[in-house]
Parts: sequence; C-alpha cells; structure tokens
Amino acid sequence: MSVYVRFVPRSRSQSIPMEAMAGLSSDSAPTIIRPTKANAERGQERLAGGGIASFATEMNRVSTEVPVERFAELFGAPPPGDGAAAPARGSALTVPDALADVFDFAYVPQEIDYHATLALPPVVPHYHLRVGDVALALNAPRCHQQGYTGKGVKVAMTDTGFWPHPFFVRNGYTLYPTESPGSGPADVDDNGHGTGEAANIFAMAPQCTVYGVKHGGSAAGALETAIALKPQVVTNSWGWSIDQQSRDAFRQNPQNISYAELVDLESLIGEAVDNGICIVFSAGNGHFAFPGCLPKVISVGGVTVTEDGELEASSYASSFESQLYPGRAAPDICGIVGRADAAPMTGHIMLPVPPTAQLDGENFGNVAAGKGWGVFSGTSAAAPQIAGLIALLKQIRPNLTVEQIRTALRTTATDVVKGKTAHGKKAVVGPDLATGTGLVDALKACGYI
Amino acid sequence: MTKKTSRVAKTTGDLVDRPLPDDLGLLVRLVFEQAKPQVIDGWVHWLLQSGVEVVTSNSRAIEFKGAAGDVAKALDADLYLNRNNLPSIGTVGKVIGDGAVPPLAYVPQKPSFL
Repeated sequence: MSVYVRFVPRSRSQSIPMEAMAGLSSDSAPTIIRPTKANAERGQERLAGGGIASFATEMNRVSTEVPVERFAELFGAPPPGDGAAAPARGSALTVPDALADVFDFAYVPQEIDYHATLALPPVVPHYHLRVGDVALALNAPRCHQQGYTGKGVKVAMTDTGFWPHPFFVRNGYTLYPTESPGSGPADVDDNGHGTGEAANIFAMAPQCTVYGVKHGGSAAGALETAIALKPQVVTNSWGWSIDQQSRDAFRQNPQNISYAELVDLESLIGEAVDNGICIVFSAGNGHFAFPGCLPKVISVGGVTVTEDGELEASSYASSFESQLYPGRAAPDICGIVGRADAAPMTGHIMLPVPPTAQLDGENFGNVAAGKGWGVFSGTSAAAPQIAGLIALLKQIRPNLTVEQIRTALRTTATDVVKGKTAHGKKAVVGPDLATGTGLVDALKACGYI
Repeated sequence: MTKKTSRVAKTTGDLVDRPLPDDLGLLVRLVFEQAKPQVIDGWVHWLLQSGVEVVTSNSRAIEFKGAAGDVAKALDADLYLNRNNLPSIGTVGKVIGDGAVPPLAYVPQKPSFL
C-alpha cells in the first residue's frame, strides 16, 4: 500500500510556501510557480536516497508513491485514511525539513468532481460488450474471487492520454496519468483512445496500479518514460504497418519510420525485456504492425465473441508472418476484439472516454454522443486485456520470466476454430496464424503457473 | 535564425531523395550507445550553442527541436525527404568525446493507435 504524493519543487527566484498559495490568483500562479528542473532532480535524488522512487513530469513536478509505512516518518502525520483502507486524497502536506530547500509544497492529489459524464455507460441498441463482459469472456472473475486482482503490480500503458473518468473513480481503480517528454498534461486525452483502452487493464486486474504514459515527441520517449517507472508490464496499443519486407530491404527503403527509429525501439524494448519487464503490443488491425511483430514482445491479436456466445477470429485483427523477423508469427495469443463490419460496427466494447474526445459516441449509430463513452476495440483493446492478465500472474508469481508468461498464456488459451482475420487467415483446430493458440483463459493461466 | 547549409541529394535506386526546406521545423532524436555522461553533456551543450531547443535528455538519448538548416549544421549531416516522403537524416558527422562514435539520429514519426 502506498500514497501518491505530488511535490512542487522550488521556483528559480523565490520560495512559495503552501500558506502563501491563498494569495495567488489563477493569473499570477503560473507566472510565480515555475519549478526548476535542477530542484526537481535534486529532490528526486534525495527521495531515491531514502529509498523512495519518483518521477518528474515535463513541468518539473515530482510524483511519487510513498509507502504507507514511510508516510508518517516523512510527513510527521499518519497517512490520510490511516487504516486498512486506501488513503483518501486531498490532503496538503508539510514538506519534510530534509527536502525543504528543494520542494515548496506537497499534496495528495484531490479526486476530481465530475458533472455530466456518466460512470455507467448509455444504452446503445446494437450488439456490443461492456467492460465487465471482457473479464467474463476471458474467464477472470473466479481469479478475482480467489484474490488474484493484480494487487501490488504496476502496469504502464503508453497512449494518447488518460482522463480520470468517473468510471475509474467509482470503481476505485488506481490510474496515474504520467507525462512523457513533449506530451503536455497526461490527464488530457483529446482522442480518447488511451482513456478507453486503459479500462481493459482494469477489467482483468481491478487492483493493479496503472501508469498511463502519454505520448509526446517520440514513441521511444514515451516507452523510456514507462520503463523508467519500473513496472512489471508495459502495454502498447500502437505501431506502424511496416513489416512487409526484409530487414535489409527496409534499411535500404524505409517507409513510415526511419531505420534508426526501428533500431532505437528494438534496442529499447530488447533491453527492457532482458531486464524482466514484460512488453505487450497489439498485432494490428489489418496492419503489419511493428513493434507488434518483435520476437521479444507478447504479440496480441483478436477474437470476437459473437451474439451467440461463440468465438471466432476477428475480421478486424491482424495475423501475419513477419518479414522483418523470419520465423516470427503474430499474434502469440488473442484478447477480445469486435468485427470489421459496416458502421456501427458490432462486437466491440463500450469504453469510457472524455466527453469531448474524438472517440466519444464512436459506433453509437443514432444514439446521441457527448456522454463520455464510445464503442470500439481493435487489438488496442486486446493488448491491455492481456497486460491485465499478466498482472494477475505477476501477483501470484512475481519472478515469472517473460518466456514463462508467454508459455503460460499460449498453453492455456482456448482454441478458436472459426472465422477469418483481416488478413484472410482462417482459424482452424490447433495453433494457427489467425489467432496464435487462441483466446487467453485467465483462470487456466493462473492455475498453470 | 536559419543558417545556410549545403545539402547533397542522394539517389536510392532510380529515385532521387529531395532536400528538406531549411526553415522546416523538426523534432530530432539522437540515440547513443553506451555513451559516457560527459558525452551526453557535451552534446547538450553543443546543441544549445547551435541554436536548437533541447526538449529532453537522459543517459541514452537526446530530443531537440529546430529548423532543418540548424539541425543539419549542428549534426553535420544531410537532411532529406526520402523516396517515401519520410524526413530522413544521413550519417551524423559531428563527434563529441575522445573515441566516441556519432549517435543515431532520426525524426520520430507518430504511430497509429490501433
């Protein structure tokens, strides 16, 4: 158990104690409170010296998770909500003397008040799944009943932003929006993709801690930020459709990304996996997706649950033999993904988004938008579902290696024998290119390890 | 202010790479392989002197923004649009640090969210 605490480092010219904040207006605060990078770094070093991990945001604020048992020692007061329950948010804190020359003030971020956006999704009159259906389809509820909820496991997700939707707050999910270089505020998500797809992690692992890292200047920068948080799992629902030629041909004729970007991401991901971090990627929605084709990642495709409750390979999801990495086939396994039919598409998932986001009202048909929900999925949904399942496995056996995880997921998946993928690959009896070894089964995977 | 740089058009097969306009704004990522901290510091110092804006740096990479002309001069590299319209950076000629090798340099591309 830990408490999320945000420190505001000292500004260049003056110290702004918490009590002086009352005298600042919304106009004057941004010009006076200008925390310096040097103070943020000094503060991080001292926190690290005390065994407390932290990360600095682009705006030089320092966020940290203070273990409950260290909270009183650090702030001279019991943690908010002291006791078995999670500490409440909203408390201003006295900066410890040892940090007072680098941090002006600290606080436990307050929960945000919501107005019109609904914690419950609206009714849409065509076939789709709700977030809770994802857990059922992947056989997770009985894992949860046995206490396997992802508790104590850190999952990072890199995406378009992470708005603290009332759906997350009401469910008591722990989501920390996190900036990466050039991203701007991580809790702003104009697209809605990151906010929505993050719900898939919580469907599988309701008590894990999710760090939502917003993409900024480069995908590698976002991944670096995620990896630096030292999570057990990093899930990524993005990529480029470039895996249609050999590596040498790509080097000579790069498209969509440069060869240097490919090498950068290969080495970054490779090093993280070698250090025991499980990296999950979407295989693509008809794309030949890189990095979803990298041999070291868990590559995730899609299976549709039909109106009759049957499983079929998703016509929206990718399945291909890698040209960049001969011998590699994507996907390894699958999560839940809808169909590629005419709008409004069916079999997708009702996911929470900011009410002003591009994906608000997606696939709603004639139902009015603006409710803070959209119906969508793709292998973008499947990857975080598998990341959530991996969080359960890591809770049970923290020392599992990436290859042990891959084996557990693949060995226990439910074979899918119907349907065709976006690439026209047919699901057949036994392992196949369409779905790998099939749809993951959380209960069996937890039992297998 | 954009500086005048010379640029060499390259050929790839039978198609010709085209130069980038000097005033085109770019974000560039430099990636170092096991660089000493003083090499990274040296690069940050050099980039700041070169009139570009350093966005972030760590033990492995630096990201900076600048006009294509300034970037080309700072890196001592050719910048061009390749045959697939991809902003590209040739081999970096600038070296900082004894025995150091030049970093990989590229213009990061936005991924598709799937």
